[in-house]
Amino acid sequence: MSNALQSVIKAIDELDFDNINNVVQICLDEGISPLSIIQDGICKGLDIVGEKFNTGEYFLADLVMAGEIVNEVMPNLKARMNSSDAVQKGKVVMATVKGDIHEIGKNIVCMLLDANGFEVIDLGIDVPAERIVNTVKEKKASFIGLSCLLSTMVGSIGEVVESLKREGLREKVRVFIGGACTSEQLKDEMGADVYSATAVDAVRTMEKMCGAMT
Amino acid sequence: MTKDFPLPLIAPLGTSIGMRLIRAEAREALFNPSVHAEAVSAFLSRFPDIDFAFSLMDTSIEARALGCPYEFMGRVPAISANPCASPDDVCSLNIPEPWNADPMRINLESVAKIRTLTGKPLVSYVVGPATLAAHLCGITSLIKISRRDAQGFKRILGHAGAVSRRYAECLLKAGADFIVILEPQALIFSPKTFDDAIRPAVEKLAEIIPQAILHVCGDTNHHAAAFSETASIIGISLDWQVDFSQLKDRVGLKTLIGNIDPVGVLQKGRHDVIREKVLHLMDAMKGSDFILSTGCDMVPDTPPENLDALIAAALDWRKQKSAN
Repeated sequence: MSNALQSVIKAIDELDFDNINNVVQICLDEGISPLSIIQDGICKGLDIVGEKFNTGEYFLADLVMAGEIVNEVMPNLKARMNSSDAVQKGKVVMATVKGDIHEIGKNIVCMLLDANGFEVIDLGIDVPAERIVNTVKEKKASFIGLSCLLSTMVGSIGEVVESLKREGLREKVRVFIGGACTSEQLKDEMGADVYSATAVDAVRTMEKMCGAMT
Repeated sequence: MTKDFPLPLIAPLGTSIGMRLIRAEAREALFNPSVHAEAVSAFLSRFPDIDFAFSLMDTSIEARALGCPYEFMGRVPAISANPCASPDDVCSLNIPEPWNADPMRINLESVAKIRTLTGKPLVSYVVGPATLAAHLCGITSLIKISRRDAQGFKRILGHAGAVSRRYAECLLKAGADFIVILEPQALIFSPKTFDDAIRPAVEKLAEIIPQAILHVCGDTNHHAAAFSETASIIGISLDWQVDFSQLKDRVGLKTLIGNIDPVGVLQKGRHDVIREKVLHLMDAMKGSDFILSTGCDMVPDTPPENLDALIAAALDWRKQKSAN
């Protein structure tokens, strides 16, 4: 691997916001493709950050910071990508459920999914079930990611599942849940498919499911 | 904190059930001191064995007093926009005089009314410096500032802490005996950031509160030891993900408060499950400085009978230990 790509990995691993544009530009100047910078640099850096989060070396603030670093360079890289590069693993509709406005966890998942080649449709916070399901229908998405932090709003997850059933879409879409108040038990109660304790887990599980679907 | 009480006190964070008992919405109770006090009174009448009176929890009060816009999300007011982009923006905000600044004034009136209703120790809340700072700046911006401008981050926390400090002084004068410092955003940052920046601001706030408690909800297993180092607080209230039996020997002289799961166990659990969890926790904490509570605020929809089950189990445990 080139030193330039190693520098991208290092900048993300060390959460070096001030240096990321420089190291990405060096990669581009050396003729490394934007796709390779994303896959071999950014994603590998995010893997390290994710692993450090899982082992307790990094915390949510560090994940957010890594996300900000990636967001800083992704528009530039995407704008330079050929359409043939933009092979998407799957479409994911992401939302913080109705009645909840917490967005950190959702934003981290969005960032990781985006960097890992998923097409992310981020509907934001406080999103009603109807809008989520209409978007799934319109975009033909394979996954829904629902973030819920407030224990008072867990019923909003069930509303999404019920709405999918009413629209005849339940078997076509896998529903992921995450957030402070969610759990395996809640997943079963609400009729969702996957509970992810961390953003990294969510992305890994989605990747596995995509592999199984292809 | 509990040295005068040989058996664990019972203090579930359940006042929101009081709103349900009087058929009031949070919007009414939080904005009308008479309704707020009525909800607390109804709660204490329905659950007379609870050892403390709690005002309602609202983490938006200080931010709203500083002018942050809000919306009702679900049942609670939530800050909907963050007006500050920099340490200078935050530090340019005047510290509100609580008796002249709604909604601080409204809540102070509520606490004063509750004080007249009960002789039980009265617990009220302020938000911690990091949590108020996140309301003012937005959490993502605050994280960026913390990584790129450590001194600016400390200035923000210092100013936010001064707002809560002034409000805490007035809550004490209004009749609060204990003040819980709600600092959920501490969980976002690393324990090192807590040690270096957040804890000094929390300590500065807590030093004017004779009986201050630090509450952080969520999975605080990585942070609990750092929290326990905080000076000027007498107790730590943590959520259900933390194993108190593992933590009890690491908190020094501080009281551990918690930590029954307010949703998975108390709202949704069967009575036998609630009983089992309570007895298990009380056995695990036997001999320690401990108050039985919920890990976080209870959901207003929690069946009152479930809280009865928690209290009955705790009373039975006390009775059994007294007999022994």
